[in-house]
Amino acid sequence: MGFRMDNIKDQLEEINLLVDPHIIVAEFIPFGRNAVVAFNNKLDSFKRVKSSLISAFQDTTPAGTQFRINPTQTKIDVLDFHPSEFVKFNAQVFYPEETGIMQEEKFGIYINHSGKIILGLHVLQVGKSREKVSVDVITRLFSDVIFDSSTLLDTLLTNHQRRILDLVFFKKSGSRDKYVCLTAKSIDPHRPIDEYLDGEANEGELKQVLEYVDKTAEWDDGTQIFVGTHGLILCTANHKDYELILADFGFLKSIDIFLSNFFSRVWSLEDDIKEIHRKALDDFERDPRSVGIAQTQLSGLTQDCILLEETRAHIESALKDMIEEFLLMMQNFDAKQKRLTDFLQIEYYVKDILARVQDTKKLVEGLNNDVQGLRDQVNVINEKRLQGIFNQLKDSTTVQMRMTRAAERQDSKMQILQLILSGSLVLQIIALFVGQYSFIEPIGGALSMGPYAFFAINMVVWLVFALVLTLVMRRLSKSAEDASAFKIDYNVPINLDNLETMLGKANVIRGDVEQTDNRVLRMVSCHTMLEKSMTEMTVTYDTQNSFLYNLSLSVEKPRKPAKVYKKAVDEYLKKHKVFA
Amino acid sequence: MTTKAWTIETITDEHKKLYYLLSKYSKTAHTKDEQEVWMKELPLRVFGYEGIIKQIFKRYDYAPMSVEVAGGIGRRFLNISQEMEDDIADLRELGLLYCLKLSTTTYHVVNAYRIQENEKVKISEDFKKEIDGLCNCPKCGQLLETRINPNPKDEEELIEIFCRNLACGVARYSGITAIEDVSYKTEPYIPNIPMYDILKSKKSEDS
Repeated sequence: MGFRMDNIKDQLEEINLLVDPHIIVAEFIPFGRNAVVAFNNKLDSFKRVKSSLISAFQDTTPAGTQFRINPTQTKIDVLDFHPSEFVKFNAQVFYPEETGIMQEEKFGIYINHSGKIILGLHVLQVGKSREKVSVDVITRLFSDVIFDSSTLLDTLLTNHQRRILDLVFFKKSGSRDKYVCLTAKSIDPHRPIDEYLDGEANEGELKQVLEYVDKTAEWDDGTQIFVGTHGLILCTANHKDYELILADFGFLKSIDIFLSNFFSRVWSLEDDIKEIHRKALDDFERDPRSVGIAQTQLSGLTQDCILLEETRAHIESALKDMIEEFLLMMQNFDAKQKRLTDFLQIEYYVKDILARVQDTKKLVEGLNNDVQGLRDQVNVINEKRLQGIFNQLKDSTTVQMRMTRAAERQDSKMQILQLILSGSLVLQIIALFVGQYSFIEPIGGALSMGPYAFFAINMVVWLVFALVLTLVMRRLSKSAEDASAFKIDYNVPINLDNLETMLGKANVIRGDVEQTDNRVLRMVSCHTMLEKSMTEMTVTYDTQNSFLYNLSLSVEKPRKPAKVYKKAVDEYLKKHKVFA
Repeated sequence: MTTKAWTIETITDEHKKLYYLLSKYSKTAHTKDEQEVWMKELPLRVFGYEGIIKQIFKRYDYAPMSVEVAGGIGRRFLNISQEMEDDIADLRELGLLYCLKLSTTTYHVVNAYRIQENEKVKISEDFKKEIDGLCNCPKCGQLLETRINPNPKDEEELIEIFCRNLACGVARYSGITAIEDVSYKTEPYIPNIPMYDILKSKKSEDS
């Protein structure tokens, strides 16, 4: 390679070199057969051309003609697959590197329905070195591979799987951990195994792969093995003899890593439950929103608990599949393979993890019960709160009813008084025309009449006047009530631009915005003329999703029935092309 | 496993520099009213890495290693020096350093370190000057600190070294998260994993 080899700022002290290294990276992701089918579909496994480029770029404008992306893609070549059982494919990552650095990153991936993901690569050359690669440098290589494979798989996983990973890895699934098995023909310089574990530079270098050394072994055929908490190094003349065992061991370790994160999540959910409990019980009197918030959070917790139980079942089934598969494979193992299996204690390890997973069932059940208990408590609090509101409402309604009745009685009294007083007015007006009149001195002349006839005329005029007065008052009272309000529910998608243009032309008097995660609710009130009546119109719509919820109308002095105004609003909206 | 047995008299220059670095950020409580000061593992690793780049820790080198970063960040590849990790273990074995384990809200364990003052550890003025140059603000001389950038544009802007004295305006990103590239060439390799169903059918055929 005629290029710059690296951009490492430090002078590396490369003590141990791996001869002809192969890397196996194992990971567990809950799969299941349906997810394998979906995975195969995304990979085009069923098609004639089983090769395609895949990008993590998300198309946010599906209706567009073109898009521009960075040249970061992965080329996939499907080698073998079963629709619902497994898929094997090769991947090559294309990523723009710094000038002078050239990386040809190709790896193979095997995925099966149990969620076993085995990623493998044979290191042909790192920097200048073809045959021997320093442990210091190879760690830089597999940090690339681990990150790139996570990005690739995240692109191909189903939403449901991504939700599980986000839950278990606290929404940081992109940087999830994997178990690395390194195989090499030998370590150069070759030393007795104890000398590598000197607690100083040699061990420090190996720890970059292993993290903490768990156990080691050296056998008479020269095979050396170092098992660590996050990696394994096997130096042997023929790594092919052991690759199956290493893949399964790596898978087990990755389940172990997954389970540790799973436990962290369970503890964290327990804390969430305590926090909701505290908020709901202690704050509900201080903050009336607390019960609503607690109910929303509880619903999220319930979803998480369901997902955790499902994930637990996936882990359990993966382990059961694995032990059955491994026992079948063991029947054909030779002495060397049996020796490695015994050393790694795979059978014991599977049973141990299985027992842990079964123990977890109680934890998740406990978590579910806690959530249920908390929900009951929140419901009781809510009922208590509602009961309080109901009692207040009842009291307030009773008071209002009494006040209304008192007002009605007062009103009737006033009306009677008004009518009586109107009689006095009528008599005085008649007196203006006829002068003083009494039974002793009846009027004479043209208006000469008997006293009873005159009394009857007075009474008739009074009744007519009272009738006219009553009609006028009723009309006045009716016109005071004439401001009708009604609401029209639409719930339809709209053309947002046209609606906002329409509102822009109107006389807007106030606006309000309510924002949640998935919608931005805007309430705009404006004055407009509808059917020759001044109308206040309040439009409630969602700007994020271009959706019209409802429209409230308040018509001052309506001249026509409500249905005429409703029809007029429809036409008004249609005229402005508001409906999508 | 054999590890070299160090004594306070035989410890290396790196041990001494590391001890001095830790002494700047941690403190023992001498009275009941005093509070202990502990240095968290991440800042120690950050200053360790910066020290390697500045050729202060000459014997150390670094390589990417996946570790849990507290504060809801999750796992990240950081440039970590195993030699430094080993020297920390040596100092602990010598009783010069205590390690305290704390749990984060997401139940991940965080280590913190505090030195045990010991007059026998003689640190030359040159070493002190080197470490002071690494950890002190070049403008006001206050101790530099680290913080996690909650909204990094990329991985290289995740951890920031800064001076609390805002007037200095000293703040820069640490390269501990910048994993350097090496040129390499690999070929795909898939272990020949037999399918469970195939094995099962083979077993039934055998029986």
